[in-house]
Amino acid sequence: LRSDGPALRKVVVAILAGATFAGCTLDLVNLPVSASTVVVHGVLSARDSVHWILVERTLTGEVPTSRIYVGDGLGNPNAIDASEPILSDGGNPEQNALVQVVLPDGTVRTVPEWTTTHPLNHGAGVYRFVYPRASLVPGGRYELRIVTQRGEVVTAETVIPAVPTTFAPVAESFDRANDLLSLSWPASAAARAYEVRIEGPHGPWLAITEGTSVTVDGDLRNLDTEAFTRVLIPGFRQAVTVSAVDENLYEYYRTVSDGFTGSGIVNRVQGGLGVFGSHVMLERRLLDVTAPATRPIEGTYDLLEQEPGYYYGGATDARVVSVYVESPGANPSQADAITARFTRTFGTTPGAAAGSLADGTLTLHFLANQTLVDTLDRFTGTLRGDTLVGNFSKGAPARYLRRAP
Amino acid sequence: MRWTLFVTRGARFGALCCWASLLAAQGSGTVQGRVLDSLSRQPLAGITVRVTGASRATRSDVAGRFTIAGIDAGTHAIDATSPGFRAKSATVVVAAGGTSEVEILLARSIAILDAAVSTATVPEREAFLARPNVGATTLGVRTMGAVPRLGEADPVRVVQLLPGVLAKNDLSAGMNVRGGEADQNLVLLDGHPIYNPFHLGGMLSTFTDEMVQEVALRTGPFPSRYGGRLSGLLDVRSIAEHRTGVHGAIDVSVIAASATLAGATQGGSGSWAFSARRTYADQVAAALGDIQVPYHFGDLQARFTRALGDRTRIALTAYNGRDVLDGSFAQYSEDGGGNTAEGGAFHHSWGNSLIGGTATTRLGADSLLFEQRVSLSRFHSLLDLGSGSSRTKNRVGDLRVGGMLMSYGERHEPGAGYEIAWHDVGYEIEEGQGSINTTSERDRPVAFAMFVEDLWRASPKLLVEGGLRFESIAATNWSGLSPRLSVKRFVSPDAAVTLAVGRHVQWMHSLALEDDPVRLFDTWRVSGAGDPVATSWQGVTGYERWFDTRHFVRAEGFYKRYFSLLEPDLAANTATRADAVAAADGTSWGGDLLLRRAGEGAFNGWLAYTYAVSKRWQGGTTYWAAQDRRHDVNLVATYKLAGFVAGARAGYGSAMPYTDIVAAIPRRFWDPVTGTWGGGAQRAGMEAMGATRNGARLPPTRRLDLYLERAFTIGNAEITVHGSVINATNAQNVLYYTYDYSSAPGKRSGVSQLPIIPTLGFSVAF
Repeated sequence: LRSDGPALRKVVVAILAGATFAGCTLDLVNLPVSASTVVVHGVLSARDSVHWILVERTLTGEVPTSRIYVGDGLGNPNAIDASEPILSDGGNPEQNALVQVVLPDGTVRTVPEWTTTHPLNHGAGVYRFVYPRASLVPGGRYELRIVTQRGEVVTAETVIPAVPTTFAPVAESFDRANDLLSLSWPASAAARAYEVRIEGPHGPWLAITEGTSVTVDGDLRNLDTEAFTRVLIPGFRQAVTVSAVDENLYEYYRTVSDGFTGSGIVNRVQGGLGVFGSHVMLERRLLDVTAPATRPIEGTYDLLEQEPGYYYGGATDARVVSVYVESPGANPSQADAITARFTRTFGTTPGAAAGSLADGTLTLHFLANQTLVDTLDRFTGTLRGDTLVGNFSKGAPARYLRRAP
Repeated sequence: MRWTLFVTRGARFGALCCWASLLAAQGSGTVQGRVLDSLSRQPLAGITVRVTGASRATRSDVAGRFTIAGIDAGTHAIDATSPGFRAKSATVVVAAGGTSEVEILLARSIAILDAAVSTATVPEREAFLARPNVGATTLGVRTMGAVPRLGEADPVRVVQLLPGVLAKNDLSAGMNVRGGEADQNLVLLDGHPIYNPFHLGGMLSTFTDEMVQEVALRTGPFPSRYGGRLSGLLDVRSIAEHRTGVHGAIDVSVIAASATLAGATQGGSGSWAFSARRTYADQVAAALGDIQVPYHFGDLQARFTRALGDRTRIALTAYNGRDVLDGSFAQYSEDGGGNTAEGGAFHHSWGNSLIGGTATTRLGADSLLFEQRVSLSRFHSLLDLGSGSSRTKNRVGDLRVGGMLMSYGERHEPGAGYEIAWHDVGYEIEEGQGSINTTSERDRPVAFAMFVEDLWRASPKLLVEGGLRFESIAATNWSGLSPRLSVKRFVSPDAAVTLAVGRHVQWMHSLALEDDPVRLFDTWRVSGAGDPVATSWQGVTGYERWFDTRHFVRAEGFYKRYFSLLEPDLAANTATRADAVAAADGTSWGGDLLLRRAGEGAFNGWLAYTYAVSKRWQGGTTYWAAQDRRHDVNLVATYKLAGFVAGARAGYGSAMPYTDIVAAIPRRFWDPVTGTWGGGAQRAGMEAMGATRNGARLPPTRRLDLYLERAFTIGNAEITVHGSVINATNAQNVLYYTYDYSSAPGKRSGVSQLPIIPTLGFSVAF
């Protein structure tokens, strides 16, 4: 969420989509290749002691980015490979560049490309700056210098916006229907603005504010998703963070390039594009989001373990499942959106599930790491009285009995 | 205190001008009278009454009355003309210092579609003879009605086909007048300002065809009574029904349905009209099932006039229109996916409202007229995404009071007046359900203007219209004088050369970026707190030649120089007001040509050609303005025969500038939880990197529209069935390009403007 840019852009896109509907799509034309520019994405973060600096090039038709990355075939093909964040996300990495960071005391550190240390030589264009988080100097100025193989020189600098802090948050229950999420934090003199972020299954909700408080409720929508889905989803454990950001990150998040003029980005990287910023987390909370049970399917269900099957509770060992109607169907022919929280026999971290309820049939996808892109198992069943009766996708029949309210 | 002084002095100056005019008129007399329907003897309003051979004309009021002062003593022929009536001439003897009465009975043209050619003077020729206008064109309702339409007949769309006026594409009802930006046009409804009068993303104007009597366009320097905009003046006049009883029309097109009712009061002392229009696709879809059409617009418009005695007339105009684009993504998701219901709501609405009143009084001698206006015009837009998760609001309030004292003499028509506008302009951006207030501005400046003007008939061959407008905008401490001068020299009774120069001022600005191909609506901002007041100087010279009473050609050249044109600064910090806009200077120059067959004959039409060059510069960078189309040609023709009306429009536009996108910039997202870029889920956005601003050109455009109408009568009702074919050759005119740099080489595609679209509709008038 970059200021009002994305919101207005969605409207413009919607209007242009209408125009597209009215008009015709013109034939494809090949474009000449123009000179590319170095793009830098780097953040000095007080979160840990490894700071990632991505160096790549603007896309000008030099290389077919969709064919560069073939991956190892092990991960989800739709996810970004953490060891190849440029190649697996449509980028054109700038390899073998000389990357240096000048510390506030004038010390120059050369930053190696990850390919030189990665056991499988992954990490093209990814430069790994190892520097203890505790050594980051609040208010200190850090300079980035890059010299590419083509001889281009790119520089940028950042000022650490706050004092690094450590966190050990304890999960707290958040009733989406009744609770307010109220955040406030002390102002930091070196901070340009503050980033408020809520992690969620549909992606993070992000706001940049120059104030020192934010209050939202359970109806908050994430406008960076295609369908403006809710930010706080019952059944999920969601992290909430507040961070101080420097001028560079502030401008990077705030400005976008207008699709018709190709301008609008405030760029503070000399000789290239992108951002070299710094980021210090000021607060971190964990929310176990819940909602009141008001519909027949909603409630907390315990697995009846005497049922035979290949797995008890499926591949995820889901012993206790709390089911929520995340959103009722918008019309009678539409399924309700269902989410759930589940706990296993062992371990304290809850899992989450998402699915639908259509014509009395409940479908739940049990997720890995609370992300919608990674399903561990699927349960399909119906509610008979207070009992959920169904099967997991790997063949295990299962029955869950609803707890008394 | 200071304004009180200005008003007082202005009134005194105006009175002096008026007395001078009265003294100059002592060697002449006055003609006054009434125009009545020959059958019903009901008064007829809006009839043009003209003294033959003299450049004096007026129009009858709602009581059918008219007064023309300053007529040389002697015998004169008085012509009365109006569309729908057979022209009539009467003879009157005028005595020096006396007042002669005359009554004129007009007979209706029974079949208004007949090919009968009226020999009466058309309004365009009256204007040619009477005033030193430049860039002035008037279109009557019948002229506009036969131009091909995209569903709805639209006066503003027709205006776009006139010389000096440019529509950037099929989806834009905004007008670029002689190289100016689309926000530089003053749009008036019955003399009252109205903001952003467009529907459907700019495809239609808000003016309901049935409520429009005529549209007057000024592309050149306009008289000093008008101010607040730099380039164009569009004055839309509502109908004044002259028939008693209740009359009306119902019109159904593929886009909307409208109903209009109108009538004249008993005795002809007043008229009233009311119109309502609404799109119906959403209602039809809802009735058919679960289909959701998330858009609709509606208009309500009313007009009321009444004569108070025989010296005063009041008129009220009211308008309310609203576009709504709302719904929920949950309603449009495909079922069966599991999470279909999770979609959030969106609401986007914008619209105008206007209420305005005018009182016109003849004072003392009938040649002295005072007009007092008051209006409240409002515009609002609201974009609410995700039920308050992000909300952008813009509102404009314009409370305006103005008046003018005019005198009609033999040699002079002086006038003086004032205008005070209380603006209330607010702009807000909220995020996070209102807890993050990105921007909140509210400006309430008061703009004051005072003006004097005079039309001087220096000799039978020389007309001079001059004026001076003083304007002051309180919030900016800005004030200035804007002189206007227009001179016409007749080289023969049918030909004249004109020269005009003037300065214009604008303090209300749109933040819509001219470079974007679709102009949904304007977000308005008023000068103040560091935002400069935009100004322009423009000069026009031209030649107009009439070949007979209906055919003429007009050629004009223009040069405009702009200062401090505001546009949104895309890279601005929206939280810092002074940083949110950028100011540009610029020029426009060129020429336009109008070859027109006017009047009410079987065949009507015009050929309009515009050549314009528009350049802007800011911060040391010079670029072509987005509206820098060099050549624009429109041929419009209508033909009426035996109950049929056929119309056609052929247009050609040379290449329009655009900014070529030469690369995609990966914009990645930092994930503070994992400490990585992307975090495994959030993919990079690919954003556009532009080359030189407006350094490339789209291909030229061409368009052919056709129209056919058949009217027949059943009882007292006239039923008209009409159809249009828009873009009959299905020309693929480029609207904008799309780019894909993920492949090698990169690919460019695009979206065309309107494809071939047949439309059908009907209307019932009674």
